[in-house]
Amino acid sequence: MKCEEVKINLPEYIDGKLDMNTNVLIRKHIDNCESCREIYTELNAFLKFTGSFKEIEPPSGMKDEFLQLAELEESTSKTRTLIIPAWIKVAAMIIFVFGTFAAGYFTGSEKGENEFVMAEMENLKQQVLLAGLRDYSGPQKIEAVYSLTATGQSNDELVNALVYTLNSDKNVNVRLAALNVLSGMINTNTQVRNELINSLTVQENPLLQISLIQVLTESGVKEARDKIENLSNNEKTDQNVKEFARDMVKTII
Amino acid sequence: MKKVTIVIAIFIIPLISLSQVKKYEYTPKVKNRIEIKNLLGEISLKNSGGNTIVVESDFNIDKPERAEGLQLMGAAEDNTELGINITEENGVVRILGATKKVKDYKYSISVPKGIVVNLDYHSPFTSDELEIESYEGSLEIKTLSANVKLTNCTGPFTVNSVSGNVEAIFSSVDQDEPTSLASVSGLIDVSVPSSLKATIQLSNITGDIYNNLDLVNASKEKDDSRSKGLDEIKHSGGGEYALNGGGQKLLLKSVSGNIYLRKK
Repeated sequence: MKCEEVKINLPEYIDGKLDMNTNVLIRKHIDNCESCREIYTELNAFLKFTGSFKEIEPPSGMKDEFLQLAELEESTSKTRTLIIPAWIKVAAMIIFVFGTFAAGYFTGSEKGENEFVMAEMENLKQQVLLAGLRDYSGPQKIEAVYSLTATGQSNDELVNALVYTLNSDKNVNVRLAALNVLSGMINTNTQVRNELINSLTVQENPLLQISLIQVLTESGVKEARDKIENLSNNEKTDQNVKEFARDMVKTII
Repeated sequence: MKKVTIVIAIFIIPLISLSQVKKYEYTPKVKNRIEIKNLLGEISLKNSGGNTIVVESDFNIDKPERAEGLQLMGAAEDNTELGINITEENGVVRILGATKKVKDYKYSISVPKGIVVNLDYHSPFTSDELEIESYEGSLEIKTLSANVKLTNCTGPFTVNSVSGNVEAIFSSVDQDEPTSLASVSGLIDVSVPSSLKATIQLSNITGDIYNNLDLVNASKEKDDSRSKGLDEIKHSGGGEYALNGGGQKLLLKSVSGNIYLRKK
């Protein structure tokens, strides 16, 4: 069996969902291949870990979806397709993207456990990617952004995760959601304020540029003035953004 | 009699093949996500009950004789005979338009349940309209100037456009995940069932908002004692409104376009 094939089937192998022959082939491969063995050990530990979360109640409808998919899986035995239950993906995503804050929140913050979690998280990121758990949809990420901040707490890890999302998520709507949430913190958190000013130089999408300019000028962030002016003077900037920037700069005294 | 029927048959068969719809089936190893990019022609999506992605198209380019045994190559290699390239890597199925010529053809894609579809319609060379009808499932759509019309769909969607209009007529609204529609200068027009429970966030800078739903202002209260007993007429930065007590989020944003909210 090839490594690629083994890696794709690891989650099912761990769940005991594969047939005898494949189990044997995978077991044999893992015994002889160090890199796959490492991934198997880590993924096994990780999936056991996520399985222990009782606080994450799968959103209603998702559990049904999982059961339906499980039935579908059994009825189409010829083509074995890997279906990872949607709510496990969301839970894993929350941990992956938002790191230790979320993990700490969900497991109850006992210090010792948190430190273990931090180290393991870094290690497991790669393996989680390989297991195909990385592709969360835009709507799922927006849901995560809002539900994590619904706790009302804002600490460094959360802010970092939101800023990271704001600056690098491929989905513009997800970035807008992150900005929306961050803008609520601009007056109470200096880090957020600085990161939002900085984000002006990073964003290339007109929707984000305009939203950022609006948030910064309405919150009276004078330090952003230069960057906003630069945007309005830059040839490459979208016309809508330029006009908006020019108008808003006038409101910054 | 026989001769006549044979002669007629010979004429009819070529006529049919001229407008023939070709099909390509692909079974993904992992049912996770499809990314469609550079497919400039008309695209429609359908829900499929099975495990296979099926693409149907009237794509037809006269291959010169010299090209016998060779594959069409443009931005990507045509490995389906439909002018598109289909590959799968790390749980993502990529459907790429192989050549700009796909713009003149129609593509209908059947998507198995549980797969998220990401449609990058961001090229300046796309058709003017992207219309998706009666589709249930998660969609991520990006356009430049093409208008997006989603009819009788459930969501969840993320749609963003620079100058395209975004219209969505929901048959029902997915309650598990939010929908976000945003455009810079295009308008946003959304119709929802009046019994829907939702939390609608509206954000608009120079455009206007028109509405006939029973919305209740749910914006976070500011600490302003002077405002006690007074109704808020304008809320800076847009507002948040509850429909029927609130529910899953519907995030609507246009910078200079108008936003329209309707009872279905």
